[in-house]
Amino acid sequence: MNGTTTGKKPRKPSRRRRVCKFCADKEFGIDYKDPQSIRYFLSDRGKIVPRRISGACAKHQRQLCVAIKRARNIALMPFTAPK
Amino acid sequence: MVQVLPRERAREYESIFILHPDSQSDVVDSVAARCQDIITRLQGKLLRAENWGRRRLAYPVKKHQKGIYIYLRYLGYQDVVHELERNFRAIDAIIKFLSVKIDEDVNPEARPVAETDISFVSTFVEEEESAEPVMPPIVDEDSDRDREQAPAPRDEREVVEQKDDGDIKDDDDEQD
Repeated sequence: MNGTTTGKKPRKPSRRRRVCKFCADKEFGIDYKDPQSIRYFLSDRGKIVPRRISGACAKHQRQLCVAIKRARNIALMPFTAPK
Repeated sequence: MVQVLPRERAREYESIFILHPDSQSDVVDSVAARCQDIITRLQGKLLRAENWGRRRLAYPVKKHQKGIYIYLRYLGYQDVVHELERNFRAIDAIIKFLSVKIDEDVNPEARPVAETDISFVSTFVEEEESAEPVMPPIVDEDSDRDREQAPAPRDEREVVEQKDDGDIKDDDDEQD
């Protein structure tokens, strides 16, 4: 069997890489006091959107995570949202 | 052993607290005066004070849907946050608070304070009920594309079978 299989489609090359919003625009800061600016990184249910979807780089995702958690703590952002 | 900073270098902190939504301006003033007093007593320096007005909370806090947000930014030493938070807990009108360290090592002389920076009077317009997000919500395009590109579940299974060793494949064949 080995080596004889044909028709095995090669995996498509990596998807279009989204550019990190914060790297692209240095002016666009991450501030927990401005929930409107980071609401984009929250799902409808109030969950933090993963990096593979939002495209944020690791560094900014970490900062974003802290900002969202702070904003949640002071009731600027929800922990959960009803369906 | 807690490291004590020399007094010429301070730390920068910010605190936000939420007041009871029905608090009158005299309550806001008394809390503001108390905060200012604590900060100056502990050799800190109030850099900025803002009143964000009565805003809708993202979730109910002590059964309140709204609250008056007060924002403070100040320089101080390690005891100032402790003392402020102790007072925040003691004041009944404060329903929630958060303190964050912004900077570890600041020269207080390098931070001038303007008169206009400190104001406990709300200059913010009451928030509208449903503020639209500035940016559209993220749509998981990747997963959509996966669905489009993936031919069909049937094909997917074939690929998996081809990856397995021959034995399993043979078993499947026998079952067929």
